[in-house]
Amino acid sequence: MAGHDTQVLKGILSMLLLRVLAAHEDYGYSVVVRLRELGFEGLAEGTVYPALTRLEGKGLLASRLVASAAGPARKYYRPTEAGRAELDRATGAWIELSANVDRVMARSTDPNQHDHDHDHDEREQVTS
Amino acid sequence: MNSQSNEGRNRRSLSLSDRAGIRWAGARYDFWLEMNSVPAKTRRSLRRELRVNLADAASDVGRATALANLGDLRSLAAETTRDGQLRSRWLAGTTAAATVFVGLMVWFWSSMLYYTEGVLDAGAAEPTSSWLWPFYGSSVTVDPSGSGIGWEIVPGPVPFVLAGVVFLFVSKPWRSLRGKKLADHATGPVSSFRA
Repeated sequence: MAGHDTQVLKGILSMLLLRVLAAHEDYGYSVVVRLRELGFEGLAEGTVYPALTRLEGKGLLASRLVASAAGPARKYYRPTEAGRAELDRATGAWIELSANVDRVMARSTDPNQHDHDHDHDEREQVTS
Repeated sequence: MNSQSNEGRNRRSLSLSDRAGIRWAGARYDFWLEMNSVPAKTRRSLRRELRVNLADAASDVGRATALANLGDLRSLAAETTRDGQLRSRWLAGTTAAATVFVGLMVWFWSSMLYYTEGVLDAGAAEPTSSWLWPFYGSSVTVDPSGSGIGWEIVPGPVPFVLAGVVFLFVSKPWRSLRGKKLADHATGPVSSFRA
């Protein structure tokens, strides 16, 4: 899935970050790697790092420094209570949006749908 | 809690040039954060975090790819501070004003030397005065009558006024006044970042 629409991705990035960090706390580069492994191959670090900082600034993520065997301490993020509430809200909104989009797409790809709608309109005119 | 999520990946050790490249990227990132008026403590924290992440990425995919995936550091700094409380850009304002002032003074002195050359070529024996375009209010008097050449120079207000306007335009000091009122409501990463 390399061809993500950048604008769509930006719209849902916060939700994705909150979701993966709700699963377990993590640091910047590791979050990028996890999202790439989940299908967002084209996701750039330059998109994720500022988003993490902004989410922390909004109080949706908390952080702590964890010493690393490989080098300097890494900054691990996890959702705050407000972050979990935001994740629930965003997930609900996404599910609703996704269902609506699916409905629209199913209608527009069904060749019989237009005739069916047309017949339905005609019946309504006759009965009135 | 999993704090070892990416530790098990195949890693290459970083060379000296890799480390130097990462440090340089961190320094440039710091510069652009400074240009966005991010406070020093927050800058240090963001720079350190970027370097750690970059080192991890470089040991995973190589320094060139890691830096490429980061994109333009100026944009990265702007994105990082995008939702932050806008602050005055004192350093940027001072730098821009100083650059403009020095540029105008070089222009003024070049014009003055050009004017002096004209006065001498004309064979003037008495002190000759003029103002230099576009330095309204300036005054240059060239006096070739003595044993050498004498100058009396008044650059006028133009370089100072233009430098002041540039300083105000770039540093945006009104943000600080407005920022105090908004301090209690600030939710941006710059104002509330916990370093």
